[in-house]
Amino acid sequence: MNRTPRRAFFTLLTVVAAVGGCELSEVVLPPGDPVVVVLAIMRPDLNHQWVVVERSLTGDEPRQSTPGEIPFDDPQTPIADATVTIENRSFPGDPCGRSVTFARDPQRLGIRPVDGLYWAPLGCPTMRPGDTLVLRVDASGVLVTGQTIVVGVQQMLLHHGDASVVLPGPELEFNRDTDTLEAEIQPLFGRALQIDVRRRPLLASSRRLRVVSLFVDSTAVTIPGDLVDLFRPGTGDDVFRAGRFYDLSVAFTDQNYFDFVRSSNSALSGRGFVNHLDGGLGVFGSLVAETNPLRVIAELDDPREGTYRMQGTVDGLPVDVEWDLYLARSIPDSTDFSAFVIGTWGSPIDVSVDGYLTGNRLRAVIQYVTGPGVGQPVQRRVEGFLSQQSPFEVFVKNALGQVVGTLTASR
Amino acid sequence: MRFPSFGLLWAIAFVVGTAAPASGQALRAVSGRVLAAEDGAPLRGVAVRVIGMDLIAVSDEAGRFVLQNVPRLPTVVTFQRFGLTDDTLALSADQDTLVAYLAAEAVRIEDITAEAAAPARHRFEETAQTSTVTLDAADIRDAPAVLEADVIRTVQLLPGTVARNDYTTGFNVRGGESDQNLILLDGVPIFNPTHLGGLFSTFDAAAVDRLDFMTGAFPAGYGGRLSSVMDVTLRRGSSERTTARGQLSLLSAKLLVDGPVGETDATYLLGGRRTYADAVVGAVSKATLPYYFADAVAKVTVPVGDARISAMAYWGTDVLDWPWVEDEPGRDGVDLEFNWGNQLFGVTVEKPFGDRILSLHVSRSAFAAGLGLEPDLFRLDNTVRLWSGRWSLALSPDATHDVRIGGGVEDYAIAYDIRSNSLNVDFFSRTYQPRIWFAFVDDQWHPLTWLLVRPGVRFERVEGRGFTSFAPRVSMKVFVDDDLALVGSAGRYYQSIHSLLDHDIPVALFDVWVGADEFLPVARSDHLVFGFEKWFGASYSISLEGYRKWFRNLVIRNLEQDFKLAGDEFLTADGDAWGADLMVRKYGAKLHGWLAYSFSKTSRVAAGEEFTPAHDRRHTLDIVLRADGPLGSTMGVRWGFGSPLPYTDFVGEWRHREYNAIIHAFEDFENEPIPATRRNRARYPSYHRLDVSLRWEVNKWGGILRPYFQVANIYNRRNVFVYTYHYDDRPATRTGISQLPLLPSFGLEFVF
Repeated sequence: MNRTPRRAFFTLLTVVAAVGGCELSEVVLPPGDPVVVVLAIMRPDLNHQWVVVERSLTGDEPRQSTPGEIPFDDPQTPIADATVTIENRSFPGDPCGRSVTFARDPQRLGIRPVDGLYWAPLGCPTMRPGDTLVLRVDASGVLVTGQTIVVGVQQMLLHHGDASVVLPGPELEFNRDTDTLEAEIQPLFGRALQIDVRRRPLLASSRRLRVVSLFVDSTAVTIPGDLVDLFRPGTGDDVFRAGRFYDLSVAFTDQNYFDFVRSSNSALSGRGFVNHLDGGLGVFGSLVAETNPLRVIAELDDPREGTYRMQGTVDGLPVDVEWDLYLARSIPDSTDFSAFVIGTWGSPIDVSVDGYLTGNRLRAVIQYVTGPGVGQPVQRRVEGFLSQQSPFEVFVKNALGQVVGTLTASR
Repeated sequence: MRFPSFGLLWAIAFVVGTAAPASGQALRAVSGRVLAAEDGAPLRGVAVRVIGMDLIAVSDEAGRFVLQNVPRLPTVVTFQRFGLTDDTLALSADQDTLVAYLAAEAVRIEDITAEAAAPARHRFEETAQTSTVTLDAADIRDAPAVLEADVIRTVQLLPGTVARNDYTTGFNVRGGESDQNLILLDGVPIFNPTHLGGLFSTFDAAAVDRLDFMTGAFPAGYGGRLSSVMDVTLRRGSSERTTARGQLSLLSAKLLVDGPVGETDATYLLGGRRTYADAVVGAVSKATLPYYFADAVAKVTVPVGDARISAMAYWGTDVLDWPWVEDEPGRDGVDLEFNWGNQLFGVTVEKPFGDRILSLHVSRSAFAAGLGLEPDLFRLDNTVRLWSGRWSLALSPDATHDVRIGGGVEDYAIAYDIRSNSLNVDFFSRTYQPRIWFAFVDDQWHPLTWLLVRPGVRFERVEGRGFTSFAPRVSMKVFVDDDLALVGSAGRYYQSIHSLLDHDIPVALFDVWVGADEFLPVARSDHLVFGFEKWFGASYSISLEGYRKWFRNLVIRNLEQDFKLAGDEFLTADGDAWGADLMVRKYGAKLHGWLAYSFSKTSRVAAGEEFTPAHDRRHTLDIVLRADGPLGSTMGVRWGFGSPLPYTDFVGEWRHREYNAIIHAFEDFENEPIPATRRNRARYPSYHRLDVSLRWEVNKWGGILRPYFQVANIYNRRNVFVYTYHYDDRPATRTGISQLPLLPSFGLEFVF
């Protein structure tokens, strides 16, 4: 299970228990005892491995609340000049050498060396399913060691209706109203299954927003299309909204990673985290993962839903697209929707947009990419009044609210 | 760690026994019953005295009494109890039984002292049992409380107990964990006797007649727990008329009705209560409070000839029904449904055969907790069910022995199931089904006028574990004079069901019960108690007991449990405890109450680590008094002090990061505490709190109204509940949450 609901529940209990209590006055503490934290997830399905070595928080560090994405961002409390090695005990003839030393330089385009991140040579260490890896980190005299067994799978499958897809497979069209996905692992070595569903960003480099994460001590899990996001109590949301693209990641993990995810230190007792490292905290685990794109559709049960064709000129560029519009949830005075936008918007486009309807009044924001190569993201507002019978006009505005184009739309 | 030699203790008991004079040759035991003249209902607490001799007995709940060592001569016996007309009966030389019928009479205040003290004095004079305190309904009702009177909160004020904080009704007795307390309601064990996460106990104080609390070395008739017995007896319904009593407090509304069943000799008691904050919030605002608790209790007593059949039932529930994700057009929401509660049912038949009494008891106790995100997203179910059947035979083979033999079976079914039907995943499933056969012999022996000995032994066979135990017990009392006795006791105790709580966490919604099986062991404890009890007239008593306890195979939760491995859910621990308990009691109409002081030292060893458990409180002091108050009120005062409790301080935090397998990167994190290496090395500040209550009694509308006002923590002491650390601040800081602040409350009791 994900830690979040457990923590939310635990927090709720604490609040209930302490309902009559008052906050006590603040006391300044001396600096705490530093602990070496090592985070190492070995990915035999990838060819570039790295390890994070950082310090625990002792009250001596400037406060930093930005999570960042490691290795793309810097660790907040790095330990530089550590010696990090990993040895494949099951493969004495490892062409990478008996012991692979990780270095600060990633030797990889687009990633800069930073303190606290240690990179292995490309393709190293050699990892075969069932191999035993031994980690050794020497951080200024503090020795942290750990051991893991490399996970392996025969294959990963996505069952969708009567069909099955071996991952990684083609984009799946998934009807959230009628379909159920089943992720299945045929394991060689490993322990648990982790499913992540994230909304696909416009740009590959953008952050994928996690919509649900399932962690089960099993080799198969079923994901109903109408699954609700439980982690937004009160407001809630559907995990899958029609008119959107998602990336579904299926990962198979070892025991160490399983314990790293499922356990945590209680805020009341300080105990609970299952630590498999000696001399420090963290994880030395392994997993393999595959990601599959999903295109989510739904049954059409509102007259405003369906396909609209929009033609015209925006920013001086020709536009001829189809909107497959699906309503999501209603809130007072409006109804959210998402839509696939496919066609030509200056250049070929296949994106998802979000918007809302107030009656028949449509407001949406479309993001697309222009220009060669990675391109530049452009954001435009689209506004108009839907009509089921006759063509209607929608206006496209820039960030300043200026009309930059008009489209003629029809069912 | 050494354990006492029970062979030695038995040898001592044997030598004493064989050395006893044949004093019973000219003496006899006189048994009998005291019944109400109006309806023949048994009368408890009647002092039965032999005129001209220092012989006294007090009738029990069934109205029975036994006078020991009565000379086989014609004599006279008196019967006295507050609220009843005295009676005097002649006893012939060849007569060994007596039945007295007493009528009700107007109250005479001057008798209150003697009446209140009578059960305790009777226990002092007639039983060898140590470490026992008896409370009556008034003791419970008049002790200041939070919102309303609470049975377990009152027990927490007795010597030998440690209450870790204001938010839990759990308690630790003489170094034991909170799951080592056997809590009985009319003889039926109850598994989780709390509401609202332990804030209130399940017992309606108005339905309680008396409470016997044994903090150690309890007799062979009790089994299944290592540290204490809290035996709560429900009131019998009135045999005279139908009475309705109730209470309106800031917490709940309750109503209790009792009386005779038609024109028969049977009586009934039926009560219920429910919190109403949810209804009030819903009525005055658009907000919803999705929680309430309710309970109900019933008791029926039916005399059949000279036998008596009584049946009791209890039902309690806590309900949290929260729209976790709200319904929307075209989409069903998700409800968080969380409810838990106990259901008890028991039948007892008591049938006298001359001076023997046969008792048969059958009961069912069940606890169920369910947590669901519905429909079908997530479901956690825990059920605990106990069927129990037992018999006992009380007999007096001669004037010096009062023997009870008995036996029975306890059949447990404990189940856990965590699953998601939507995801088609079973997270965890486990059952425990220990069945325990037991037999016991318990002899209250009065070999000499200055000596009481109570040897006993209990045998248990635990099916499923294949474990057989032999648990000898002995208590001794040596009278130095009429008002001073030296006491001592020893015993071995076994426990086959355990709670897998993390005892370092100061609150818990309820216990997580598991039972002995091929993996889980049966825990053991040995008790050794020595002390004295001294009476000063009929108004004061003082008792002081020192104790030593040894623990083996305690079952504690394995925080690193792998759910797929059966038997991985626990670790075993050993330990010991020693200390002393002092209790000074004052009985009287003008001033009534007690002072309880406990000294205790406790340690545990688990997984090679020696540590101090979180309930290791060195000094505990409670002063509870009831006296005349201002404005014609009766005032209750309680002041409690507890020396610092242990906890594990935090020495830092680490970023527990979350891994994104799609992009092979760590992203979000949560700061988690890093505990000090040595467990429970730090201590919170001392605890103290003063509570005051005022009660008035007004005759109105043909009934009695009792308005009350009480203030908990009157000087607003900020007792620490938990500390919170902030090592992500620079410099690091610590704040915390206090226990109950100053909390006034008021309410109204009524009787019609």
